[in-house]
This record gives sequence, structure tokens and C-alpha cells, in this order.
Amino acid sequence: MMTRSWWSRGCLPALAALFLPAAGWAQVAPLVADTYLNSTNPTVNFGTVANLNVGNGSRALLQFDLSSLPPGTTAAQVSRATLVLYVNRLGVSGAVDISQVTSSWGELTATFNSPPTISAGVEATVAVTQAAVYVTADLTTLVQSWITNSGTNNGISVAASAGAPSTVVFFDSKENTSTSHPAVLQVTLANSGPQGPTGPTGPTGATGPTGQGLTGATGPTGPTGPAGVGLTGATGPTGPTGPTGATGTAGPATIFGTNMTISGSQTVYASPNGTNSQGTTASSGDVIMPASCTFDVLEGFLNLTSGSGTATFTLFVNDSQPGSTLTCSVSGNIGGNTSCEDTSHSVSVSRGQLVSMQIHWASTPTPVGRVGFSLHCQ
Amino acid sequence: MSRGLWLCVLTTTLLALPAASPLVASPLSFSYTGLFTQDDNIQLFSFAIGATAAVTIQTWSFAGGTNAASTVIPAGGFAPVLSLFDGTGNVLATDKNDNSGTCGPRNVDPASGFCWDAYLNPTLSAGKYTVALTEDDNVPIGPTFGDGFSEQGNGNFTGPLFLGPVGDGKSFILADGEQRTPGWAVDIVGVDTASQIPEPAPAWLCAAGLVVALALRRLTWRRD
Repeated sequence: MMTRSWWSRGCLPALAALFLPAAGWAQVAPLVADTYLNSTNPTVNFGTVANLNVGNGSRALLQFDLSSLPPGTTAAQVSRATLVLYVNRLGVSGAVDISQVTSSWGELTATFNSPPTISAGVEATVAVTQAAVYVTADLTTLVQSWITNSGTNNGISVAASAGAPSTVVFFDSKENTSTSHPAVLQVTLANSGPQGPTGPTGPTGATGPTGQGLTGATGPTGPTGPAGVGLTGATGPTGPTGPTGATGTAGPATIFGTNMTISGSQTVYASPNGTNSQGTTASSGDVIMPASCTFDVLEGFLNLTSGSGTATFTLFVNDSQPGSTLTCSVSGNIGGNTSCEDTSHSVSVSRGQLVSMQIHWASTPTPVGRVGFSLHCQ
Repeated sequence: MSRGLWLCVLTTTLLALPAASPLVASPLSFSYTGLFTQDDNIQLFSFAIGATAAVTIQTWSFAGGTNAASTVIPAGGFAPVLSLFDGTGNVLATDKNDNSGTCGPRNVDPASGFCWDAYLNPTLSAGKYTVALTEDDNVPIGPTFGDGFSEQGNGNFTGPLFLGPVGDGKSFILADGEQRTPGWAVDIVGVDTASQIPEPAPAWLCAAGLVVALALRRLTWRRD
């Protein structure tokens, strides 16, 4: 048995393609009511039966819902309206006339004795000469008038044609569950505006069944992963000594002695400020010059010991003027060929510099007593 | 099988034959007549042909006429449907209601003016075939006999179908609301053999068989 879904899914689109022009936009106005009136059974309503009988005392009534058309549709936009009827059975070949119903009626109440009013005019005449086929009628003018004059859509009447009154036809009603080909009103609209935007993407479909294909080839190597978090390593070796800094601006010719280191157990007498007064005797060999000691000439005495020896003086140049030099000289060379690091040793000094100067003596001639020395700052 | 049951079957067959017996008009023509008891009855026939041949299967009971056995069949029967199946049950053809609109070989029913007898005229290859006679709107619903028929099990469907609620309980109603009879007549022409496939026997036939069996037994006792 054919079903209504078959009709809706299969036949309607096919009919639309068959009867509609290439241009335009087709709408199907749904059939909302159909019945027939029969003079042999004048009080019987046939709204629930499977056929729409036409001829031999019967006429069919059909009504379509035009509210499915876009809001604001005008009559001028209806380029064509086509009625499609399915001939289920053919009693006597002939033709049918289609007229406008002009008053309301009920599908389950209309009878031959209580019919709606029907226009005397004929909208269309359709030949019916075979069964199990569709027949069509052009109802464009009628549908346009329904749109122009809202409230006048009371449907249509189908009766045996005045030109072929013996015609007997049985169309499918919408209640037919055997062939299931209810009547259709196809409305083609023109100038209905541009096509709307594409609708939203539908929901994701259900997951399909697990496939059973062969194992694929090995894929390419993946991207490098993120850096790992390792333990902190041991402290590395001390780096190389950095480059010597820029020479600072020379200060006044003031030299502060800080640590005067005397090799061995020599005794140094410092006489700051150019005096020859005896300074502090360092018992441990270190002579601490007072921090406030400023001098142009540092003089002192160095007690020589037996054998050879070296006395080292380390001075911190607190400040100096540009071009200052520090000169070592030894006076009173008593044995041992005492000399400065080199005779009349002189080094350039600058602010913040540690200056080492040495006084040497030899074992012969045997050193005796003490030797004077002086450091001159120029 | 007990003697009583065997006699029941035998008697059923004998009594059923006159109601639907083939009357052979020629070596290749078989005519059958009968009555439906309700709208959804299905009457089956089988036939066979030994070589490719044009076969005619038609009913006479809707519009009346003279069948292949020269029997005059009255008009007024229900609107028939003939469906032809091949040996494996595939639907080969179905006919009803004169879709052509030209009547052709069909007669015109004097009451309705319709020529709604069923008529099939296929050319078939050698083999066995089955024909199903049903009433209008009871048609095969699939490509094979096993798919069934559209009104199967619906009893008297024509009353509600064609008259609506006022037709409830009515049977053999035509599409235009006319009351028809349950009579049918089928010809199968141009075949080698044909037979009617009996439907299950009515209960009254079995009862009659039992009566015959008892009578036979009584006769046997008297002889003893």
C-alpha cells in the first residue's frame, strides 16, 4: 500500500518539477478540506471517505490553505496556480468543470441538502479520459482573486462538465490510504525577492559504526614536545677577569699609606708629612700609616737584617693628580747594596691604585744598621 | 486420518464443487463462478502453460455477459480486481476499474454505466501462475504475493470506505455508493491446465460431512 509519506516525499517534488516553470518559486497550498455532495444520499456527509465522487449526482468540494504563502504575497506575484487531481477510478470518460465556491462550508457537515453556494461561472474545464493518472487545471486567476480579496477563499467545486454531463470520475480524497494522492494546489510565485541566506549548519550527526578497514601506514613524526624541567646544575667556574676599567680622573697628589708590608721582620719608621720624626714601629713588620697622613715625601728607615732581603711597601693611592709619580730612593746605603726595586724607581700612580715598591739588599757587604728611604710624590 | 475426518474433507470437496466448478468450454478455457462471503475475500486460481502463449483472464460478473463456458453471467456483482503472480509469487499485473477509460473488451454495466470488469491479456512463458480475485480497493501492497493485500483482514470494508459512517456493516458497495452482489465469474483462457484453489471450507460443509459419515456408518451396521 502506498502511504502519504511516499506521496509527500516522492510525488509532490516530481509534480512540482513537472508543472512549474523553470523560473519562479513554487509553493504547495495544502488541502485542508474535501468532501462531495451526492443527490442520492442528500443528507449524508462524505467528508471521511476515500473518494471525491464527481458526476452521476455528485460534486466534489475542495479547499486549500493559502496561509502557507509568504506574508505580504500579492496577486501580481502569483505567476501560476495549478490544481492537481488524481483520477483513482473512471466511471464514464468525459470532463469536469471547476467553479468557485462562494460561501463557507464544513468538511464534516456539508451535504447535498446543505451545500455552500457555488458560482455559476467556470474557472476551468478538464478532460478526464483515463484512470490512475493526474489531471491538472490552471486556477491562476482564481487564486489571484483570493489573495486580492482576502476572506473569499471558500475553495472550489468539481462537477461533471456541462459539456459532458454523463462523466463519472472518482478522485482521491485526502483520506485515501490506498493510493494516497490527495489534491494539490501548486502556486508559483515570481518576483518574491532574492533567495535568503543559507540556514545554520545542522547538528552533528550520530557517530557511525566502527569501521573494519585494514591498519593504515605509520604516520609522520609528530612535533617536538615541550621543554623538560631539569635540576639546577652546579655553579660553574669563575669567569675570566674582566677588562680594565677606564682610568679615572686624577685627584690631588695625596697618597695615603695603608698597608706597608715589610717582608721578613723589618722595622719601618714612617715619617709622614715630610718630617724625619720617627713613626710607629711595627712589631709585626706592618707599619700602619695613619689614614689622615698626607705627604709629599714619605721617609723612613729600614732596619736591615743579615743576609739578603726585600722590603715591600704597598701604598694605596687615595687620590692623585694627573701625571703624579711615586719615586723610591734609598739613602745611606749601608751594606748590602741596598736599592729600590730599581734605582730611583719611579712609577706613575693614579687614584685608587695599590702601588707596591720594594727595597732590596744583598747579603754582602753585610747589611748593617738601618737604611733610610723616601717615597716622593710628585 | 480418522474415517470421519476423511469423509468430512471428501464431502466438503464434493459439495463445494458445484458452487465453484470449472466448466471447460474448450481444451484451453476454464470458467469459474462463485460467491464472496465478505469484501476482503481472496479467491485464488492456478494455471499452467507448456509454452509461451497469450493468456486471457477476465471477469464477467460486474457488467454481465456470456463466459467461455457459454454461461450467461448476470450483471450486478462487486467491482473485481484480478492480480497475476508468477510461479515464485511475483506480481506480474493487476487490473481493475478499466483504467483505459475505453471499456475495450469489457461490457458496460447497465446499472452504473461503468465497465469495471477486470481484464488481463498477458503473453506468458511456460510455467505455473497464480491469479487472485479480490474486490475493488483490495489490491496487492507489494511486489510479491507474500506482501499481502491492502484490505486483507478488514472484513466488509466497502461500506465504510465508500459511504463513510453510514456504510458501517454494509458490504459489496461500489465506489459510487451503489449496492452490488457478492457474485463473481472468472475465465482463464489459453492455458493448459487451471484450477481453483479452495479457501478453507465453511463450518457447515464439515457438519454436512459428518452427517454423511454417520449415515454411511448406519448403513454399514444394517448390512452387518
